[in-house]
Amino acid sequence: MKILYLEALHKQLGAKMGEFAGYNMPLLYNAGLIKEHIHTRTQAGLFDISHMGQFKIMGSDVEHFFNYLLPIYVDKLKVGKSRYTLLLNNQGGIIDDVILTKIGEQEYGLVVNATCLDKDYAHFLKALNKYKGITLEYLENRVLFALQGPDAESVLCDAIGNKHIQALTFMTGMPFTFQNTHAWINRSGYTGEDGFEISIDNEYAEPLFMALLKDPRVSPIGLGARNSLRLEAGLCLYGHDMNESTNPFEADLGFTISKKRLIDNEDSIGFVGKYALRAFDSTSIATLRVGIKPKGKAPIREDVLLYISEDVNPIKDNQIGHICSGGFSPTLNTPIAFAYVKTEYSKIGQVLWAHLRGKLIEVEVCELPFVPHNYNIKNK
Amino acid sequence: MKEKLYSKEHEWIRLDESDNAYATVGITNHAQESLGDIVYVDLPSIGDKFDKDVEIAVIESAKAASDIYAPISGEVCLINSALLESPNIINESPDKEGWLFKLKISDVSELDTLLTESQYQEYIG
Repeated sequence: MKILYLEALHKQLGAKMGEFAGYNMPLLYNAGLIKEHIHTRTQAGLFDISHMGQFKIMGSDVEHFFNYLLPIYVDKLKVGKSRYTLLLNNQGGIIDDVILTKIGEQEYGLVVNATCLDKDYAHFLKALNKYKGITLEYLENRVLFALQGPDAESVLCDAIGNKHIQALTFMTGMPFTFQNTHAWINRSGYTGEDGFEISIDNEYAEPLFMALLKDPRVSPIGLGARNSLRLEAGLCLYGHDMNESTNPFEADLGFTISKKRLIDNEDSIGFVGKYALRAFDSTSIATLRVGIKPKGKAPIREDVLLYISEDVNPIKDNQIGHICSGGFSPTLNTPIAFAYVKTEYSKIGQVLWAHLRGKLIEVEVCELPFVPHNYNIKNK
Repeated sequence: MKEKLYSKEHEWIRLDESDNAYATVGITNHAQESLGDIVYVDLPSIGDKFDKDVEIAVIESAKAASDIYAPISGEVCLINSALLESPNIINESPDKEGWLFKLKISDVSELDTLLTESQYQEYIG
């Protein structure tokens, strides 16, 4: 099992460790899942997410390279801007969800899921055969931290002594200096709160982590709360909410794709999966990812099947969907879930029945996100 | 207060002061610590009969569902309904206020298969 650079520190802080994506990760600290979750929504939570893959890609052909790989117009991205988008396969299925950042002219950063690192890398190497003059560097000596919550901006300003980050809007980033190293901050995250993701060299990981943790508003947060936060925020988890056979429109991730590029017939490069995707659109999909709110307090988790009727006999006949992610919402104090359901049953308010431990529990299709986002969209 | 006995599945059982035919069941501090924050409890119904080692309840923590097994055979005669509103009582007071249910014992000899306090402490190391 791989370990985080700061593993010893997490253990010292009281982390209960567990395996995720081949890494030994802090699942929770002494406060526990519920308190860590609420802390992130009310103050500032600090996450070590260094298991995620960070790449730096440069070269004269880099824009063509990314226009080939991604379903967006990469050449339209301005320096400092990020896009959340998808790596697609030839069938239009999702290989991974990624964040691309334009760091400088002909210089990009890409963050990918730890669970997809190896196959993403293989996918990039294949594409490199088409585009010469590109350097692709896997940044294995960097950590990635997330600082999320209403106090994140103030905490970060105080810790690194740089007020310029106040001007950053959601999905914008900038370089900064900490001690005497250069690092990168993105105003983005996986919790629905305002916050930042910080990439810095391993050598400076502990001083930065401790500088942030020193602030009484900051608590360390484990993967358990990271999952309940992203669920409340309506955000997908690769491998659960989508996989290689998931179509982006079914996953309700159409916004990650440039519709204009999809139909653009003058697009000389084309992106992987473009023609397969054109066969689908939001009106022709058979199933859709929706939000689910169970009646009552029992959490309804992944793989639970959904039915249209309370009178099911035999059960197989009426199955119309399944839960892909589910758990408990500390903010709302109720269980919440995502499900794929047949599109005819995907309207908000549709009542469905979940088969849980031999009983049928009433659930309802609801809007996502469950908890409104607090992103810093405009300049103050 | 009568002494508690323990199962290897981290449940405790305590005979009633007044009537040996009845006992209260809960989970141990060790169990609630490893479960983490408890968000829901699926308790049996009054009148349900269970054999020893059969799944009798489910405790949902923030991360996962855990099955609770009957430490001995019996019939459920009371459930801790406070847990329906506040399942976190189990985390706060697993040995007292967090009791799960009371049962009428059907086979007293099964108590011999359970661990004493010191045997349980040794078991959890």
